[in-house]
Amino acid sequence: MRALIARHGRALLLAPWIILVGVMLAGGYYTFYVAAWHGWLQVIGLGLLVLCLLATWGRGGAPAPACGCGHDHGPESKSGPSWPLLAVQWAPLFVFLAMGPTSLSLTSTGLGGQGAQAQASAPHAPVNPLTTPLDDAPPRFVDGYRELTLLELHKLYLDTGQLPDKVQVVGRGYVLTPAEQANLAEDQRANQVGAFLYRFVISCCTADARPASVVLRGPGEGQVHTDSWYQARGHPVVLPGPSRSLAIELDELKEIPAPDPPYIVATTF
Amino acid sequence: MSQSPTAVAKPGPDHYLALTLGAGVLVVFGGALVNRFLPLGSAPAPWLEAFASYFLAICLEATPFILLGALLTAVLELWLPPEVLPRITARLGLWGVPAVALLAPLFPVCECGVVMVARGLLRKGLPLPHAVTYLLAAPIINPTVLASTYIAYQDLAHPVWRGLGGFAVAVAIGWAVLALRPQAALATEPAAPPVPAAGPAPQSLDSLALSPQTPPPACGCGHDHAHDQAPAPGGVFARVAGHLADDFAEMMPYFLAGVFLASAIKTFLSASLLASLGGGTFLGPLTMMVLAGVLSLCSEADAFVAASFTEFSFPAHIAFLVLGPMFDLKLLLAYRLIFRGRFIILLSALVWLGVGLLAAGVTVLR
Repeated sequence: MRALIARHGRALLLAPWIILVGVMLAGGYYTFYVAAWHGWLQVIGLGLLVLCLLATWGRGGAPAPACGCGHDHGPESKSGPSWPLLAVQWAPLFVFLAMGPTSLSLTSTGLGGQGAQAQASAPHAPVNPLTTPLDDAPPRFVDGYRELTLLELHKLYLDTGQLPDKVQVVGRGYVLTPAEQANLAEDQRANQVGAFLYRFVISCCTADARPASVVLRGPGEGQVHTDSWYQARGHPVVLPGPSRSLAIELDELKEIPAPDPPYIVATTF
Repeated sequence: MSQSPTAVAKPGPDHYLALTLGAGVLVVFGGALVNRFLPLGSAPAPWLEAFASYFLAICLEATPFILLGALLTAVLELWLPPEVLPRITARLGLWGVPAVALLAPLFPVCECGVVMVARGLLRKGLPLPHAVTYLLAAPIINPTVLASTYIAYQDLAHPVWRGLGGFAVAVAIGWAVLALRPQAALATEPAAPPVPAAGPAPQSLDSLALSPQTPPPACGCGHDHAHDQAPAPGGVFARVAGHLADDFAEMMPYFLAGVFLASAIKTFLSASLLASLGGGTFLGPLTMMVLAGVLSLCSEADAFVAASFTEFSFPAHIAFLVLGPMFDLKLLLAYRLIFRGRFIILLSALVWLGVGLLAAGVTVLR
C-alpha cells in the first residue's frame, strides 16, 4: 500500500476530484449546485486536473514531508502523502455518493424549519429585482397562459407595475404552519396567506440561493403539500397591503416532477 | 543519502486537520451512505440535504478558481525570476504596499485562488506586508468583481466605494503588518528538513520572505529541489503540472475544512434570521459584517446577495462587500496554509476593525 501511495500519490490525490467533476458534468448534476454558465469553468477545471494527472503519472507522491512546500523534491518525498491527507481529498465525492444529487428547500434551510419561518415573513420578492434582467426572448404562451419563472413574474411587475392576465409558473409548494402564519406581516395575515410556491434563485452557486415566491389563492390551495413541485396556472394579482405580495388566483394546479435544474438562474453577465 | 527513502515526517497541522475533517464527514454523512446502499427506509433529514448542497456547491464553485490560482502560481514559480519582486519592493519602500494593491488586478483571482497566488508571491520573495495587502485587495480590486457589483446595484457608488474601501483597508493592514516579524506570522514547517546529499541548505518559506536576497535555487520556486540539478523528466509541462497538482492537493484539506464549517453554520442559521438581528446606523454594518463572514460567498457573486438586503443602509452594504472577500469562514482555515494561527486571529481582528472604521467613515461622508 505504501509503495502504491509512494508511486501514485499525486494520482490518488487528483483522482477523486476528476471523478467528482466528471460525474457532475456527465450526469448534468452540476446544475443542482452551480449556475449553468459555471459548467464551462468545471470543464476547464476537469481539463486541468486530467492534464496534471497525465503529466505527473508515476512521478512520485506528494506533498514532500520535509520541506513542506508541497512539491516533489526528489527521493526524499517518495513516501507520498499521509493517508488522512489522501483520504480527505475524497470527502466531497463521499458526500455526493452518500446523498446523491441534493437541492435546497425551505424545509432544509435553517434548523427545524426556522429558515422557512423566517422566510415566511417576507416570502414574495426577497431577490433584488434590479439584478435580474428579463429574457429578451418573445413571451412564451401555453394554452393561453404566459409562461414565466417566478423571478420573471416579480420582475415584470416591478418594472412595469402591471401583470399579465394569465400566467403559468412552476415552483415548490410550502404550506405555512400556524406558528409561521403568526409570524407573517399584519397585512399578510389579513390576506390569509397560507400556501405559496417558491423556487430558489442562484447567481453563482447554491450558497447564494434566495427564494422567490408567489402566494396561492383559490380552491386548489388546499391541495398543496410542502416540498412537492407544482405547475400553477391562473390570474396573477397583487394582494392589498404594504407587503404588495404577489398571488395567483388558481385556475389549475398540477403536481409535476422536480424540474432540472431545480433553481432559477439569475442572468448576471 | 542520510535519510531513508521511506522515512515519514512528523505529522503537521494539515494531517490533524484532515483527520478531524474526515471524522466529521464520516459522522455527518456516514449514516446516509449506509442508508443509500442498504436502504433502511428513511429519507435523509432535510438539514442533511442542505448541508450536502452547500458543501458540494462551494467545492464545485471554487475548484476551478483554486486550480487557476495554482496554475498562475506554478507559472510564477517557474518563470518569475526570484530577484525581481524583492528588488522592486525594496526600491518602492512604504509605497510598495499601495503599489501592490493597485497592481492586484494584474493577477485577477477571487478569494479562493488568491491564497495560492499570495503564497507563490511570498516564495518569490514578496515581503509579508505586501503579500498580505495583495491577499486582501486582489479579490476586491478585480474587474469582474467590480463589474458584478455594478450590475447588482445598478449604480456607480457601490463599486467605487467597494474598490476604494477595499484598497484603503488592505493598504492600512499592510502597513500595520510592517511592524511584525515575518517569522511570527508565516507558518513554519513541522518537520526538520532532511540533510541534503549535496547542494545548498534547505530554505524555509520564512527565510525567503525575510531574506529575498538569498541566492535562488535553479528552478526559482524558492525551495531546495533535488531535481533542480537534474531537470525533471517531461520538461516544463511536467514541472508546471507537478507544481499545480501539489499546490492544489496541499490547499484542499484547509479549504475543505473551511467549507465544511461554513456549510454547517449556513445550514443551521438562515440568512434571514441573521438579517433580522438588526439594522440601524451602528448595528446595521455589524450585522452585515457577520452575514458576510458566515455566508462565505464568492466575491464575484456576493453583491447580488448583498443587494437583496434592502433594509440595510449604504455603509452596511459597503461593510458587507469589503469584509466578505477578506474574511469568511471558508477562508479562515485556508489562510492556515500560509500563516500561523495567532497571526490569522490578529489579521481577522485588523480586518474587522478596518472595515468597521470604513463603515463609520462612509456614514460620516454620506
